[in-house]
Amino acid sequence: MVSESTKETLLKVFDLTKKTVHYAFIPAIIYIGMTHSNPRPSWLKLISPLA
Amino acid sequence: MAATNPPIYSPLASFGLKDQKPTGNPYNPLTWGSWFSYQKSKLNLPNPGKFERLHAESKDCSCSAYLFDGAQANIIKELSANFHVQHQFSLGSQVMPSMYNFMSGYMTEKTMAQGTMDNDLNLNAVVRHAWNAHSATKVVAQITSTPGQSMLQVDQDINGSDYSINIKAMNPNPLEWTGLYMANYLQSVTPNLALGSEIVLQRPTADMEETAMSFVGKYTGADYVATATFQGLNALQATYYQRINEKVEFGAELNLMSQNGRRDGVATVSGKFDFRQATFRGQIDTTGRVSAVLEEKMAPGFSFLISGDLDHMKGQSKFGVGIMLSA
Repeated sequence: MVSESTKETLLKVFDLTKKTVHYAFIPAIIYIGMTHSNPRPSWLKLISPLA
Repeated sequence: MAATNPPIYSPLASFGLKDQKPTGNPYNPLTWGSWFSYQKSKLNLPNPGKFERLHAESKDCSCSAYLFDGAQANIIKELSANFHVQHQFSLGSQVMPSMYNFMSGYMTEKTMAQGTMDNDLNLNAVVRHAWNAHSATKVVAQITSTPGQSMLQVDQDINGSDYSINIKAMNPNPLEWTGLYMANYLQSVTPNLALGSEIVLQRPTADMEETAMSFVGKYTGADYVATATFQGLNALQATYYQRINEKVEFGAELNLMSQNGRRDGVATVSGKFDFRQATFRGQIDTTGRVSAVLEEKMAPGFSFLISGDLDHMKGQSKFGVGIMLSA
């Protein structure tokens, strides 16, 4: 149904997506959370437990 | 005979709006959809809740979701109403090695995205999107740093006025359609009784296929809930939950399994007690296992947890202490 070369390309794309999601998911959530929150929190609050 | 709405030539449009007496002759098969919705809405059946939360009332009284081992510290930082970050440390456990977990979550009314990463760089990502009040999609991805153990689960929730449907696919491979597929359906039959069933289709490779079916029932009384799940012909799980008053709840659970000539049964009784500043859950079962979890709110933003699990038959015991800080 699907040719071999398409299968291989799909597999490569899938592996690349997996790697990207693995490393970029949490930074993406942090970025979206910091920029889209109302009130906008400071970056210091992310690291320091006291702020 | 004038229709109040312009005619839409689609089989789905035949199910008209509920609570609206349909125009159209009830003897005409094309109008049976809207008459069916109208008669069903006159019964005023409530939504039965989600299938996976069928046993949730009784399971909430039991300790199984709250037991832990060793020392644990949870620090939750609410950076804003939508965004929170959580650090979790755990050490000294007999079952798990020491670990550190970082979790961040962003929540709006329709979307929820949450990512958890542990010290071995394994990611657990959940994205849930509610398209409207009736339908929601959830994608869960577990990506491990050891290759070959990753998991992807996609599921769709459809909540009607008196039914709920859930379709789940785990590790679906669109090239060969391998993976695990589940579909379940739960329907309110009377204002107190809900019946449902679940089908599981397992396709580990393109040649092997295995299916399983289970039937469930849930009866809600004034202050009690009784549920039962019959899995195939082999297993039965029945729970009973009773609310004695607003601070005391009890749950009982029975698990029977008969497979390959072996018959197993376990009964568990658990209780949940809510105090002003603490919650206590205790559980005892027929395998001689006693467990308890206490969570005490010592100050706003600081809670202290103790968990104990003693298995008298095996002679094993596990204890845990933990703190939860919310800043």
